[in-house]
Amino acid sequence: MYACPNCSGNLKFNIEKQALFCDFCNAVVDPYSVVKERDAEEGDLKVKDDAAGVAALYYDECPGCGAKREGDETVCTYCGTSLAKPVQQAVADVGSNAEDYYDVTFFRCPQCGGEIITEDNDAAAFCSFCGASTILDRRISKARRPKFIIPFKKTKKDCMDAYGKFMKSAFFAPDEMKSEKCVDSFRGIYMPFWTYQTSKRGNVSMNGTRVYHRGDYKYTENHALSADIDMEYDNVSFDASSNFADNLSQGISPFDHSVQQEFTPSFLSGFYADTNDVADNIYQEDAKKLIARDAFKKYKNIPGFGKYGLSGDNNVNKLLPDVHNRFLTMLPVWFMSIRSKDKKGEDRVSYTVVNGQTGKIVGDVPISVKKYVIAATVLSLILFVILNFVLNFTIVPKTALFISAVVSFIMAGIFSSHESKIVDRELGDDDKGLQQIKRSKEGPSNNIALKKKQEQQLKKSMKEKSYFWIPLIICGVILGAEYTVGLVSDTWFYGGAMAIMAYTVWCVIRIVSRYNRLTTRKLPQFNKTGGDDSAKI
Amino acid sequence: MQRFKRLLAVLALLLIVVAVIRPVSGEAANLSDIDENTATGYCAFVYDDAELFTKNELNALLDKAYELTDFADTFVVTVQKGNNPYGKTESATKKIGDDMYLEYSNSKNCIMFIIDMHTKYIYVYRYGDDVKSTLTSGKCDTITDNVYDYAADGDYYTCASIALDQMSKVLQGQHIAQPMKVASNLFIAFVVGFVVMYLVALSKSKVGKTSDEEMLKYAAISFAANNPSDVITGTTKTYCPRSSGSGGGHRGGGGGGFHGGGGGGHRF
Repeated sequence: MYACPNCSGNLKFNIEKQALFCDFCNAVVDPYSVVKERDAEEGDLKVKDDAAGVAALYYDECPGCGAKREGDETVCTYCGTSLAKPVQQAVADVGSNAEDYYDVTFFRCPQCGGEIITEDNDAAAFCSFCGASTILDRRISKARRPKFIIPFKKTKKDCMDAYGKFMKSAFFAPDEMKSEKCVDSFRGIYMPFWTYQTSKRGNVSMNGTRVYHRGDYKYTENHALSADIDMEYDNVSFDASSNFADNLSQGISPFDHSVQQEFTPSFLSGFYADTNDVADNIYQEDAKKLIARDAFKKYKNIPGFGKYGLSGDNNVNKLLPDVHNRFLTMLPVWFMSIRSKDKKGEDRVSYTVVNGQTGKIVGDVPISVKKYVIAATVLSLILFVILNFVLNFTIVPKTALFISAVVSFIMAGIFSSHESKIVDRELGDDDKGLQQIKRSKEGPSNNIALKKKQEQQLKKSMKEKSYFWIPLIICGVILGAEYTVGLVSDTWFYGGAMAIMAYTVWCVIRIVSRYNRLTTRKLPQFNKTGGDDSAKI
Repeated sequence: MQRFKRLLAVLALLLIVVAVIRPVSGEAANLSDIDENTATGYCAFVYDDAELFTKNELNALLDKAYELTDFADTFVVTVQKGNNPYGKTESATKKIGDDMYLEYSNSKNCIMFIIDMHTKYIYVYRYGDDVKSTLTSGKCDTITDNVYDYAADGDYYTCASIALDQMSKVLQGQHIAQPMKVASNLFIAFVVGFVVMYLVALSKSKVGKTSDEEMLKYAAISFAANNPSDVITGTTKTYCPRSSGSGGGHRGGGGGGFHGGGGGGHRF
């Protein structure tokens, strides 16, 4: 804990005062002026100064294919596996360089292995990552020291207000997501982000064309365009924790780095923090591409260049910058996890996160099937009244059958497209950080083909069929019977339309259920060795 | 004499050919009396080319058709199998209606109930804006849908009789049973309702993707482009005549013409 210089009370970071605050004597203390008070356990930790250097942060042999690391590459040149060691191992191997690492108290969830850091010594009884209510295992260790931190600007009340507004527009969210208990479970967590500093200098040329007509002729002019580019893009950040899903971390971005401060652990007092387990190179390409796309827009706006219709990835790639620096920065996130069970009884978790600096909110909002069916039925009845009594709309049974079949076919298509996304989510393929962790867990293997085959089988077993052929067969049989055996009775067409309608409704409800699979996640399994519920915000 | 007999034979053959080829028209048998409504000038008749009605049925239908002459010329027409030269589709039956209108009506408003044994369609045909505004295409579909069962059972008289009754009710602004309209609208409303609500639910719960511009909103950016140059490296010229528009002139108005009637039918 950080002791108050006046009364020795527990100092915690106060968002409104943007300083450490003592609840007992109301003292306001500069975060940089205090040093952590070591307890007995921590005092036993000896800080070694004989660091083996940055090289110890990487494996000498690729954990994916076993190939030797030859230079200072961070990714295996043969199989693409990250060569970065998990943080804990790197800490152990480096020997705890006092400057690169700082003392922390880790709390580890015995259920999912998720770790969280807190600077306070109170035991945590709730895991933010898997939503389990359990006493977390506590241990003292070291974590890689971030360079900067953006302190929380939004209080828990701001966060709850933002959530309230968010939920107001989420008509279809399950009621449990709107309960007070749920809202109260928001936790302030500092999430590690890699912040990249990039630049590009030099001549960049592109080929442009201009097409114009004169008389009966079309003229195509080819132009060689070039300019000396001098650009710098700093403070572009991507999350550095596999605990933080890409769609959520990017959903609450950006953060204003102009107010970032030099990191000191006392900022964490009263909050939680996550550790970084994703190597800096994992999102580097994403950052470079993001910058290149923006720079390309600026290039096209160079006076005189706009008329040449420049486009294409090739041109964008010419503006890929060099990354000359990357920092770990702690960014403030209000984090809420809700645990639920799926229809098979398996535990699932969904997250809602709020940018602790700007208040931007995103979340996994499942659709309540019950609410959806009620709303859809009401809308259908309103549509029926409009069609039948206001518009006096009339279609013959054959047309009704045809329209039902077309709509059902579209819904079957949507169902199939959801399936691919679900498989990617379940396998962690939609999150680059998780992919890296997965690869490093798998360890060395020479049988990549077998692994791929196993993955394909897993994908196949997870996919659900759309039965898209049902409406096609119904429609085909009835229309075929009409033309071949002269089937004329409306009963057949109504029967067919009703069957297809039932299929469509079933299909849509399945889509909603499957969509909910996308808004909840498998319980994380981190296999690493953290919280503080008593933190008063 | 021999030459005269030969000429007569050729003429007789020609008449037979014309009778067979010509669509339902002419002074054929089974044509009822033509009743004219002196108040409106509209007339009614039943032309039973397919010989589906007895004499009494013919007269009963004529009475019902006459009631509709307050609104339009009203015909009940049956077409014999093999006597529709336009094909075997619903539009072939509609074309018979056009032919009948041109040959026997040419009034401002005309309605017809056609039983086509060739295409196996029953059809409510109407011509004229006054009639169309009341007896809409949807209503025509509804009427044929309400009576096709009788035609399918071979009870053509009941089929035509109820159709005339329902046409009369509609033209008088009364309600008729519309089970087809209700059932079809229910199906469409439910299918569309569930799909639209899904899209609404999805838009309310999807995690929005942050745009590139927003991702870089707070990034420290400096971008300078010096010495821009633009050099033409080549030009290609392709002959590409522009589409020739008609230069000036007056196209003139079409003016008038028969655009055909419409209605709704049902197979039986």
